[in-house]
Amino acid sequence: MLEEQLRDAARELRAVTDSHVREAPSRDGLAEVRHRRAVRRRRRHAVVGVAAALVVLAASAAVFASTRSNGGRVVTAEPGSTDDRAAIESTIKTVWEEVRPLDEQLALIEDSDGLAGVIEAARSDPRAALTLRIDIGSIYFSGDSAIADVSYYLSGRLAATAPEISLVKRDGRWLVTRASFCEVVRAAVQCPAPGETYTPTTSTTEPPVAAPAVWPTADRDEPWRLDPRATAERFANEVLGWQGVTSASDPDHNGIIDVTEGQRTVAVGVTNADGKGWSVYYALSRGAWDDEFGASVGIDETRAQFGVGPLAPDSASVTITYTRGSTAETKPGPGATFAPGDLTQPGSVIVLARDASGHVVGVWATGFAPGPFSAS
Amino acid sequence: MREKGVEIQLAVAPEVAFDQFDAFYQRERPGLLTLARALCRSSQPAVAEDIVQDAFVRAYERWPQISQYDRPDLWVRRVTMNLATSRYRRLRTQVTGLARLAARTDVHAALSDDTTSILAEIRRLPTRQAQVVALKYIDDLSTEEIADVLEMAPGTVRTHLRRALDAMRSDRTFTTTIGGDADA
Repeated sequence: MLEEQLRDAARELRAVTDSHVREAPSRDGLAEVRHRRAVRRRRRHAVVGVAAALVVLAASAAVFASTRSNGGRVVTAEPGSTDDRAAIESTIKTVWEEVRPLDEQLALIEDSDGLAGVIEAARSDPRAALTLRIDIGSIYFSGDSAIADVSYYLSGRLAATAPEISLVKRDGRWLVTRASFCEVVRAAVQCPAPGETYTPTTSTTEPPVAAPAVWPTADRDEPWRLDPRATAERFANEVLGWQGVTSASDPDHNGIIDVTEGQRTVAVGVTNADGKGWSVYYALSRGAWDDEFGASVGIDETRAQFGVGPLAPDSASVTITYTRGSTAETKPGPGATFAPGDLTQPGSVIVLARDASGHVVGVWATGFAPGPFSAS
Repeated sequence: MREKGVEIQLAVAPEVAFDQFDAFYQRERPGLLTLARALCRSSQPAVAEDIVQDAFVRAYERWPQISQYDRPDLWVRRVTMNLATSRYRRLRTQVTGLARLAARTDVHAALSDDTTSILAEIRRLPTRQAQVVALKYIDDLSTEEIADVLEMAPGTVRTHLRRALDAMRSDRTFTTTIGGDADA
């Protein structure tokens, strides 16, 4: 029944896509591919290679965290012995948790050619001084392959659960697969292709986003602008009115900070692309808005028009603040029209949803480059 | 498909290779759009299109090498998988992707409630499981092909698939118990 439903969904999705492809000529798409490639090449020249600690990456890889609770049970899809579990635990801890000779770690990674540089890059990062502990939960066996659920503790605090670590049994030894190893470290240290050598300056980590700032819009020479997390927290304090916030780097990218107050979290994009200190270029509430939120923006020489939705269920009111240059105006939402202002200046919009007590429960904010802009 | 440490020398002139890219793009684009739309957690079709375009950009950048692979289609699927399931990507596309596509007037047909619902179930799965389910049922790949795309052993693919289907069935049972309106 379920599999048939999946196939039905696939058929419908393909039909809709085919219809769309017929309407959108591929030659336009090809031209866009070439254009985007040119843009990416220009950006990449500005990228400085990023190397970060395995421990940080262990946490960073939690981006796709599974929230299963396995309670440390060994679940065997196919039989796996206690010895297998012990061997797998030893392999994982040797590769990630403990400081061991490089050769010893490489020997426990499948197809480890070219990975020595990756491990060395991670070790050289000052953040590697943090204490990492890995707790291994359920292990799922399937012949000579296994998947282990893991939780990462950084300096004693749970940093992440997931990703699952895949292992294969070779000549009686359990090895972490190359793909699994690289997935854990990929957010900051990019594994080379098999047979190639690790080159730190060619990281494919996304470059800093050179986006117009949402906040602060005026130059503020303050110490917190030296730190991305402090900047994101300050944004939450001053713009959202949130107090007692905590923050964490988004596991998937260094430029996104999760700022949390109680049960609410906002993803804050920060950038220091201009070298003048960190600023916020983007913000979006996690949760319902993350998946469902949509916005329409139309800015031209005659007006700046905004519409947002759907709103979070506990939203009682919405305000839209449009800033262009040094001029800012706030109107009630979810839709509002403003005078466009001086379009030779960068601009921004901040949408805040508040509950009945006036507390901010949702936010969307983004900056605009000079000139017209439209999106929906 | 895996490029096991082989230095690949170009056997064809670059301009010929890029001619082949156009055909590759036109052949693979529909399938990748379908796959991306199944996996990316935005209701906006434009987001899936943006992801696929970026996957092709990456393929284009490496085309002289990728075109020599046995299955370049699997390589570009791997990139699409990674892009479609990235949270950072999702956030960033809200701004940049929609802006790039804003000038277009494409009309996307709406999906039925059943399809929308089952896609949502796939997206709720842990990433690897969602990817395996999408490649198996949406993209119709074999276990071996999925293993190549996701760079894992076929046995691991089967394990992910079994766990994914179990989780989806379990989720439905739970929903039925609580809400009484899910199918078994």
